[in-house]
Amino acid sequence: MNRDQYYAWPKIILYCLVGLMIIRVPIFFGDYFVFVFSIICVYIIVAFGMNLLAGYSGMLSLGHQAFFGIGAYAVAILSTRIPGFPFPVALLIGGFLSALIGYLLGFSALRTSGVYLAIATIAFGMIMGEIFTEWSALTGGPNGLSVVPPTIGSIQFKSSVEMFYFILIITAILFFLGMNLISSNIGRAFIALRESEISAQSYGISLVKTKTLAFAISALYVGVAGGLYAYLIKYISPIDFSLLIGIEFVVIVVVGGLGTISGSIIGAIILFALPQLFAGFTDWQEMVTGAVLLFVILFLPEGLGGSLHRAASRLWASVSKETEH
Amino acid sequence: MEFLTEIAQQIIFGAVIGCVYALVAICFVLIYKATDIINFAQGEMVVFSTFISYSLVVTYHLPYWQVFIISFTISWFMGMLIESTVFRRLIGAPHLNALMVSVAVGMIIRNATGHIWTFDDLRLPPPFSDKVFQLPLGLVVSPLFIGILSVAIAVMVVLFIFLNKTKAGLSIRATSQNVNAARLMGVPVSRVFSISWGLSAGIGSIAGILIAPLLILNVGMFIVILKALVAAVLGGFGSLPGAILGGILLGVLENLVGTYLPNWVKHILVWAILLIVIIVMPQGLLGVRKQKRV
Amino acid sequence: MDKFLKIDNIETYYGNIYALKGISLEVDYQSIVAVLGANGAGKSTLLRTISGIVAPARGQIEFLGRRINGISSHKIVKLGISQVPEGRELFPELTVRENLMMGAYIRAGASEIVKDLDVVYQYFPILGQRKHQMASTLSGGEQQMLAIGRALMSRPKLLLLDEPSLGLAPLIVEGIYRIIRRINEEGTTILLVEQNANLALSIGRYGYVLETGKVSVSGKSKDLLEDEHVKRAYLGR
Repeated sequence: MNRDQYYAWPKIILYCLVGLMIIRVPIFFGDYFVFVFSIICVYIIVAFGMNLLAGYSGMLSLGHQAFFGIGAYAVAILSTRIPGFPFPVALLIGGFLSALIGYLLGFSALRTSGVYLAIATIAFGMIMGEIFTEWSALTGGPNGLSVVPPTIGSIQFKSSVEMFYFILIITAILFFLGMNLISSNIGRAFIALRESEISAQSYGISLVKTKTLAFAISALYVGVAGGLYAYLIKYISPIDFSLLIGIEFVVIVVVGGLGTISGSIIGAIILFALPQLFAGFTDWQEMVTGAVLLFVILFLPEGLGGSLHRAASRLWASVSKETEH
Repeated sequence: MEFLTEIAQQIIFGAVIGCVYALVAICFVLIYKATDIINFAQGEMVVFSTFISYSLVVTYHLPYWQVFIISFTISWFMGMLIESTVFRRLIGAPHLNALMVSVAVGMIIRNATGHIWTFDDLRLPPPFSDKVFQLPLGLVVSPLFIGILSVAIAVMVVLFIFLNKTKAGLSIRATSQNVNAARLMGVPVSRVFSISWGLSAGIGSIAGILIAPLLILNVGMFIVILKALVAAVLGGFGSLPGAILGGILLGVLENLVGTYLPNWVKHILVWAILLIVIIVMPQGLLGVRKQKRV
Repeated sequence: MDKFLKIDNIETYYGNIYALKGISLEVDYQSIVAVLGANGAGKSTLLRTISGIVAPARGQIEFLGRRINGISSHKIVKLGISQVPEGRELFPELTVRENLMMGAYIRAGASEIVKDLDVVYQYFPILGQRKHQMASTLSGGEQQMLAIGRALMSRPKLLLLDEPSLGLAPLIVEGIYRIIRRINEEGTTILLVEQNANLALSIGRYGYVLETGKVSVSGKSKDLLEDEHVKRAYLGR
């Protein structure tokens, strides 16, 4: 059997074990840790979306905080204005609105690339940020909006444990959908795009379709994550969607490792675990984040996830070599 | 008639701010021309330099002409230090790496600035008197405006002379056009990179002193400086005259829009310009995409 | 007496490619030596090694009795070796005069440098006419002349030329080669790399043929012109 199949069985078992452990979390930990795990799940979704764009498709965006905001504001506005608004619909609306706008933003990737594309996304992010701040009638302006707990019919998820399972399920769904996407033709098209646009075109891959799709799907993920974020922290305002947040999103994928699944998870954990370690030192958070980012880019260009991945593969290869004889 | 005076007034005010944008835009372009890197830490470096100036003025009570010189010198060395420790390693690496590194460096500098001084707002006393007086035709100016304009123009003139009439300046221009040929001519290319960063940081420190009195001095000011990036893109990245034109144009436009249209238009304007220029006209008004060979 | 330029069994890697596999070569005072070979034979790598842009993995290069392998490129320019690189590599947005001034970068002494400008304008009058024009606006032949003139501005003892005829019309190439001969007659030693073997052997006194990183034949030019292998492979006869 080939290498992928060879590694598959142990991986599946590992995932199941980890999955079982995660489901038991609320039983072992108090409310606060449950909240932490929930936020990490949100960032994992964000990391997945960012990774789809930057890691797999090779396009860097410093404006994705805007989609986080679109998803969050959609949820906040709908849940507050229309009592009893079902949460799946709110999340989907936030997600698809993000996807639509992301799709449009993707067209700009046809005209620019690399650093110039990154600058264009910065501009987009800043514009959306201004809209969040200035369109007070809709968004509550600089003061923001509060968010009603997720509702469907007569059920409301109010406790942090209920929120946790709710978010966990959605994270799992998106995660497996995403894994399928990556191994599908579309996923391969993304990777081809990253490696060489010219070669990709010669394989019959439409640049227009692929680039806009990459933007749309990554925006979808980040938008849904934004909606979950709104439900989780119960109050949003434009500061939650500033350029600094957008930079943190990029930090997640760079530190975690572009283009690796484990990278997304590691990045999300680090980005959230770091501030927790520094509780009481929150005003050093930015420096630590910057230093970590700097260190990783200069010395570990594959990110922590990538380096671990390589190390794990090498370890696995040396172990399996011995067992072959 | 009054309406014309009003517009002229706003244009003058916009041009004054625009000159400062132009100076910072020049900083971006200098580094870009020399090393192909867009320095996203530029804003934070300018703010850091301005805090140094604040200390020199408010804590040590030095006269402003000394403050300009000392701040310039310290910033020059800071720029060289950043280049040699961080960016020298990135030569030959993908450009996005350099982008992210400069963002990271910016974060570190911004946080350090807050810790060394404060995260609160400060007020930098203006280098020139900001008393206003009337000119004929009803225009209002102040020594501050004239001072800002004069210093900015002086810097641009000195820079022009340095780049075009001196051997060192010639070697910088040559290196930015063709690194391999410059090496063949015996130019110590790494020294050219160092000087470009030093120069950029130094000019940035002057720009900071000029703009801080017009705004509030605080750690978040770097966003304002980011507008200079828009100016550089507008003028045409890689073109120094373009940076100047872009800066002044941006300043005037921003001010006119801010005066006659609702505030939110002014806030969105800068970024809308950036987005449109990058997508529709990436070479900007005066720029040519960098040529590498002949 | 020391050899002018002595290259002793150098091996050079260009990236991961084993480009020079043990080359030995000699250049006499005030001669013109031609290095021939097809694309990829290693000719440019040889010149880059001499100029110090790449360091050889093994072997020695001696210039006027002094070991120069492994020395940085700007020191080699100061020692008197100047290269006209393949593709000219001019400074596109500098004027003709500024390009020439860059050639004299390692020198001090403004008045001497200005005198040398006139010498270059004498070799290439058209450059004198266009001295304030930007290099990118020149024609191909003029650019080649500018590249050569720029290399002369450092008052080299040894001039390295990498494919000066590349992309130029035959008439222009003739003119340039006439000037190359003149430069040699006025005291500069020349090491010339060319794909066009006829041309190179017509001007050089001595020639080396490189094939896949090794010297396959060498000898006096007139002998090479008669050599069967050379004739078939490189002279089209």
